[in-house]
Amino acid sequence: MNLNKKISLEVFDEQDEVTYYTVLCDGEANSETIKFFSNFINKDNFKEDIDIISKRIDKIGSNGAEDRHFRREGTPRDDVGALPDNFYSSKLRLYAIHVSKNIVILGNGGHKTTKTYNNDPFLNDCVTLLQAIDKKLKNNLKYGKIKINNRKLVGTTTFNI
Amino acid sequence: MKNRNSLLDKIRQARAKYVDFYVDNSFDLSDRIQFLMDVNGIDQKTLAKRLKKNESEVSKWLSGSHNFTIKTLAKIQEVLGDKLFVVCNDEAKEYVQVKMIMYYPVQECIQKSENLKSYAPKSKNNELVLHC
Repeated sequence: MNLNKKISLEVFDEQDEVTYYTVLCDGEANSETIKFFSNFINKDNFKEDIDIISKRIDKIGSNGAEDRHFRREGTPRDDVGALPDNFYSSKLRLYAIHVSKNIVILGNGGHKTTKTYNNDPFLNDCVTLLQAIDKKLKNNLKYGKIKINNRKLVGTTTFNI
Repeated sequence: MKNRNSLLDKIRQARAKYVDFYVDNSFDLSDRIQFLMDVNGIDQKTLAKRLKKNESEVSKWLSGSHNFTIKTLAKIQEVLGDKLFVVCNDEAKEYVQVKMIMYYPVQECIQKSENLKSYAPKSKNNELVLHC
């Protein structure tokens, strides 16, 4: 998988047990997660969903991230997931990479109206981007280009995918 | 100094209080189920089998976002062998101990105190301990 993109992982929000990172694509002003929240923050019909997602972020942030807190998306080989889908009657998704108990990378997401994310080109792009980052990150962790130290990613956090 | 995202902070400030209760309760409930599973050495597959459910449904329960029915919780409790939650009622409510300095005679203090269950006058420092 080669997306020909240069991305940076930037700290999005630091909490007691989890440091949330986000993805900034080269040449863009806003990170993927800012794009997600900006897209829905002023839409009344998604107010409850945004409230729930933000509270989930806080709750996971104060307890530590477990696999079971994320809905498995992507493939069994990667750690890409979404915050769970049981948001009352809505199907808003925020995609993420569960790197460890203390590190989560938040991506972009949206309103899922198709049966699977693959059927929605935008959501598919959101997941594909995170899958590529997950693969690269695992490789960089394996070869010591990035280390996890004190709930932070230390090392080369800008790379091509 | 922790790095907090300003847009997320804006959302936090406008967040409905009931959402806090909803997410807190559902997460705490799923944590309690996970804890009892660990204590009993039961994995998702075993719990699903004993409750005649799909493993994917148990996985959903443990994600911390499931709207449980009382009946489902009762069935889980039966398998896990311990309480999952406690419903508050007036009889079971813990007493809150309040210390008041007696500026008024004891009877007047009692009349002024709402929800008083009992009291224990203490002469030392003119304190009156009220159980509300």
